[in-house]
Amino acid sequence: MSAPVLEVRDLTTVLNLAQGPVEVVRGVSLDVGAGETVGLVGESGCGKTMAMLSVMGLHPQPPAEIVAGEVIVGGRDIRKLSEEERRMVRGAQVAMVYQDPMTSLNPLMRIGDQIGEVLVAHGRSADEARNRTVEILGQVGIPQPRRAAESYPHEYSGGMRQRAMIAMALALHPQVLIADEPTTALDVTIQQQIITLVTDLQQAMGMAVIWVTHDLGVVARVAERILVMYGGHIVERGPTDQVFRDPEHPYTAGLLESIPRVRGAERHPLRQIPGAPPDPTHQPTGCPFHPRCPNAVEKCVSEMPPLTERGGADHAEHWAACWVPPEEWVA
Amino acid sequence: MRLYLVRRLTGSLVTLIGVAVLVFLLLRVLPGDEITARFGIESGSLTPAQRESLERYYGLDQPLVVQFFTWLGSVLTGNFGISVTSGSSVARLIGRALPVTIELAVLSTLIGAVLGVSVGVMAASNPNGFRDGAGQTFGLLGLGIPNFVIASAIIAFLAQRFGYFPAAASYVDFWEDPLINLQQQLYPALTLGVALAAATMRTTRSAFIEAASQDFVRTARGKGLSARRVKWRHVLGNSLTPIVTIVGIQFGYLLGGTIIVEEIFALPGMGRLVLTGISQREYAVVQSSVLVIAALFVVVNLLVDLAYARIDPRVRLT
Repeated sequence: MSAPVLEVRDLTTVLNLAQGPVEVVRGVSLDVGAGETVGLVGESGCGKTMAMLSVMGLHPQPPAEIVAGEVIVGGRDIRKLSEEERRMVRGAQVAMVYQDPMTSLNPLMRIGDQIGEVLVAHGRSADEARNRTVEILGQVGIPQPRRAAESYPHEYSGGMRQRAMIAMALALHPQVLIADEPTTALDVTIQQQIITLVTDLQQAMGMAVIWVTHDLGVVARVAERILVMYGGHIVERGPTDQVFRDPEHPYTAGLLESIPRVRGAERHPLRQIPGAPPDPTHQPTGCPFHPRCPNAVEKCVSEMPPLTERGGADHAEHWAACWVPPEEWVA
Repeated sequence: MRLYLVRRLTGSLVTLIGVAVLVFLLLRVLPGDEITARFGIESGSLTPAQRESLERYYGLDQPLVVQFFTWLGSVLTGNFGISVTSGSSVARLIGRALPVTIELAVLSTLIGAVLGVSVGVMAASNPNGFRDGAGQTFGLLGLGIPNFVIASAIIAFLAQRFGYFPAAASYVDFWEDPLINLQQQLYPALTLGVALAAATMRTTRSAFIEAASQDFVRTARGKGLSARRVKWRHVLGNSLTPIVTIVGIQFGYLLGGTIIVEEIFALPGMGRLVLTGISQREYAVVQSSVLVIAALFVVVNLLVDLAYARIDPRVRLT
């Protein structure tokens, strides 16, 4: 892996609720190399979005608060920067595309103005901003970009709005793009277009992308490495093909078995993981997955397993947090 | 947009006609007629022949519909009739009182809007913080303390500090002496403005808090915009519709005259004109004043509708 453009160390975010602080992101660490694609997967409610918002400094305050950890961009821990310096990182070095393009654009502003605003906020002149806006709108595949810049969000479909959001995020050539389930709110056919668009632009611009998704199919296609999140923890990480072939965490294994396979030798009845991710206000003790885990042993109830490197020559950079090795799994 | 405009204009016209009919009918339904009003108890001693000729003179023998259109016709040509007690034309009376009221309304609304929106944004920027508490207290006090208390306090202060007492006879037009005029208008405008600001503040606060929780505000922050730009452009921009609504209603309401404040500060505005008109049974004065006030209210509403379209592009489609 090349030198990381984004490093997150032991990031912990809590929600300060009436009953006290509740940890929703628990000691998350990750590295993203230049131009690399990383998939961050897990069911809804596992803390993926909150982790990414915390990286951006966009976690809703209050009630959310980052209580520990470092977010290192370009060699600097942005948590230690002044608000003004942090502002210059957001949108310029690290940018984000959000889940719902229908609500993520300001309904009262022209699309062009909303994109131009990013450029002006980061020191470009009004003229430069105008030209770059039309250029980037063309690059994300919006027809008649000059006219599009004059349009309001309500004149656009969901897919077109997400393209505009991507244009907005990429206007300043960020080194890292965080794509937080950018296709969830879109039609299936449009989903494919958006995925292809982002991967094409990634190749053209050379930025790193963190794909946040619960769709393992997408991750398999685009991501070189995968991070699996559960109950606020990263429970497994490694190269995508390895994790898919030999999952080292029962949660990952469960997710993989929940993918419908309708053809070929891998065909099997669709399975699902019983239960739902824990409510952060009622986190189980020990490993957060143990109440749903078929392989849980006594230790799982009392102690959270650390993320440890898995052995084997073909398991390079493959880490998982589980007390029970796959050989001893019952299912 | 054109369709929107046509629709609003038609609506305004219908409202105005409705008001004209209502005002006209209300005065006919009230006990007594113009003849009784003019002759008082002596109207009882009129012979039927005298009464008949008077009715013919005043056009009261005509069917109601004819009377209505005759009246409407003369109003449309600017003839509002004559005030019986003062002998001057009603148009002239309104012409004198209306500028006083409009000036007071504009000043009060300005004070109310600027104060209300700034305190509202200040309170909403940190919900449940100290500033929010201070802002909310201000809002409660402004809404809770009646106008005449604030007014009396201001007058007491003025009299004590500057030996100044407002008097109707000494009212000076803006065109005569802007400085003295503004002095005379400022304190009543402050009195009204503070009360209006309280309502505007509460509307602004809740609209701002709601807008601040929207996804696009997160997007705006994620773009690296300054906190100030996010606040004023994205959040306040999206809170404007309810704010414009309340400020518009306040302004329209003030154009109807403010009887208590005008009375206390001795301003010869519409409130006093209508009040005197009612107590002296000056039907021509009341009828025309109400119509003018209603027309102004309709115009203000139309302006508010236009403001909506200006603020929100989606409104232009409806």
